[in-house]
Amino acid sequence: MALELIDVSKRYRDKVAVDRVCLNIDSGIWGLLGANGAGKTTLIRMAVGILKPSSGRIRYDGIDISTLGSAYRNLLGYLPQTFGFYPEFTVRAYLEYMSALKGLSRTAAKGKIEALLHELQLEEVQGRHIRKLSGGVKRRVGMAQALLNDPDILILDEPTSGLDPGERIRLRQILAEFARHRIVLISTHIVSDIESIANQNAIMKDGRIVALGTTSALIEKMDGKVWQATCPIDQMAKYKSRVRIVNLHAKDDSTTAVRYVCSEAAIPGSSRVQPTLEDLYFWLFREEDRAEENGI
Amino acid sequence: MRELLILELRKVTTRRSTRIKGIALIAMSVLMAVAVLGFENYYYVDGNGNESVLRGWDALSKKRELYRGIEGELASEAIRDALLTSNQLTDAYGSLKDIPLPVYYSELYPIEPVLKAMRTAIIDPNTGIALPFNSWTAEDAQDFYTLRTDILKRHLAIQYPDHPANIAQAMRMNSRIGHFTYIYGFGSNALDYLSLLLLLIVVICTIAVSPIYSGDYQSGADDILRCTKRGRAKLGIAKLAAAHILSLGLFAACISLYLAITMAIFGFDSLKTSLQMVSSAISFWPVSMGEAAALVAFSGALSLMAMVSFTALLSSRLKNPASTLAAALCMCFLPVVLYVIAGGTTVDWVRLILPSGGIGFQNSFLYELMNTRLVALGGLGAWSPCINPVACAIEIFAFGSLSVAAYARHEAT
Repeated sequence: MALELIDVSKRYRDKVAVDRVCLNIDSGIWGLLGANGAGKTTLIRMAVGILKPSSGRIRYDGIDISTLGSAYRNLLGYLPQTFGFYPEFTVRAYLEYMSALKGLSRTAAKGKIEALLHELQLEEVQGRHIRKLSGGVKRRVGMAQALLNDPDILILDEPTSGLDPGERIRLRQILAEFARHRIVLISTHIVSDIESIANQNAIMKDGRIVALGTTSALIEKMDGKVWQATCPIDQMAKYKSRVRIVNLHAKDDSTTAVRYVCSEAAIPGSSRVQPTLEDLYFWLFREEDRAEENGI
Repeated sequence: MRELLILELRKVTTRRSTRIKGIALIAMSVLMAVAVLGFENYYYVDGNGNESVLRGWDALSKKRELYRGIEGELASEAIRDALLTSNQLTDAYGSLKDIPLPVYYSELYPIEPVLKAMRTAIIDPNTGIALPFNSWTAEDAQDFYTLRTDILKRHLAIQYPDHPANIAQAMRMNSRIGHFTYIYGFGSNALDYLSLLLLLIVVICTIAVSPIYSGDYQSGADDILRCTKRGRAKLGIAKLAAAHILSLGLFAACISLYLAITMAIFGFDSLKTSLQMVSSAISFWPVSMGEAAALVAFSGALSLMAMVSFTALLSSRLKNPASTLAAALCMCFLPVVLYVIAGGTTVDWVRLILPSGGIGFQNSFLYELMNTRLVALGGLGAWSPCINPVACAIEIFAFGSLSVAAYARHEAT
């Protein structure tokens, strides 16, 4: 079971959204990390077959996905970033509709819908119109439709957006259980969503994969580059331009604890700390990228 | 496939907007059927010598009573008698205009439908202008049907000298027309309103169908749908089939309601009236008013389905429902605009082959049926009422297939 992206590019008139990406995705949970505009969604849309690559090939078990056609789609579960739905549908009616589109028999669909309503805690809202649901519940409905056909390949684009912390944890548990012998690809810009559950990660920047590997291998790359220090608040401005700050936490009125990434200690009294995937993310994405991401 | 179709139908019929449009159209059908009665007027001279008028149901009842004398098959003797009456009164008073109103209402009004048939049949074959009654003899009137056929043949030969095959076809159709039948009731106003109702149905269904594919493109629902096993061609077919079924269902409900009400008002017997008694007596289509109404409805159904397929094609190609709707509505009214602002053979062809070519006002199928013209294309020619239904039958499948293919191939943006 392998989904191969071979030299995949997507070019628009004035922009290269995805640039010669090569990925060999096998079973387990894969995290696709990157800032907004890095090309994650474009790459995912090509992987699910709703967008054609300008060049390159996407194969599943050695066969081009366009050749596989409906057989590939039969193995696929997809939750896009923006979950379009039919406002006139109730949750249950929508899941029944999606089951029919996925080719499930009525009996199989009924059982599967019941199980997913329970698992995703949607039983209480099953009779309500989707348009009346909160963002988090809509997202869970989106997850339910993606899981209806027990897909071999589950591709989720920003699955946790709109979910509260409890829902995020619950989703992680569901995905961890689901991912055995299956491919789960999660695209996100929220590192904590995948840090604890992803077996492999690919980090995208400007349409390219800039880092690839297991979570531990990627974190290893940051050994000796993550620091923690206590710094007077009035001197923070001076250091902000020299280091990439991961976290700030005010200790008292005059000092603040700072976690930063830098190839060497830049703040007096710094001590090395255990790196995380988030540190790597900050290392790879420059400050200005983050400013852009936050709309600053 | 059947399951998908049922789910699509259920999805569309649960939409509030669909229900509102359906109810509005059904209400319009009832209102328009009743409104036809408002065109019925009966003029008469009252006891004080003043011209008065009865309207609506009263006029209908009075005219039904008045025309009872000429009801049924229009015999040659009845035509001769009508001519003699008209000529006697013209001789006595100088001209038709000078006949006193009381005399006109008592003598000519009851035979007016016969006189109208004579006026539209006995024309100068070169100019198409009606010949004055006083140039006729009683023998001419007695031989009305032979004379009419002769005039029709000469008129067609003068108008379309290069199309003898089409003329022969017309004359073959004409040979199936025996004596005209006239029973007062379901008339041209009922057919006009039927055409107007068809236009409304097509416009409303076009509005309803416009988001069929592009609505999903815009909302993002399409991204999920087309990642499913049946989410491309099969779903495209199911969506299109559901649009056709619902449009036709609504069409059938509205037209049945309209015809049932108008027939109940005007009388089912009046459907036997020859089309020639209501439009032009030299029309060569061998149909009654009932058959004409059925033909108008059938042509309307074809136009509706062709417009549904065309709108679906637009919806599969355009990325949002608003631009789909704007383009589809332009197509709805394009034949009307072309008819008003342009003429000529090429424009006629274009107008008639458009999916909406059979609906409209003066350009509608009804008027093509009543004022049949030969539309030439080089050495070939076709009678105008035949063109649009044939074009629509082809377009239903052509546009439908193209829309499904475009939907299946659609790429996310």
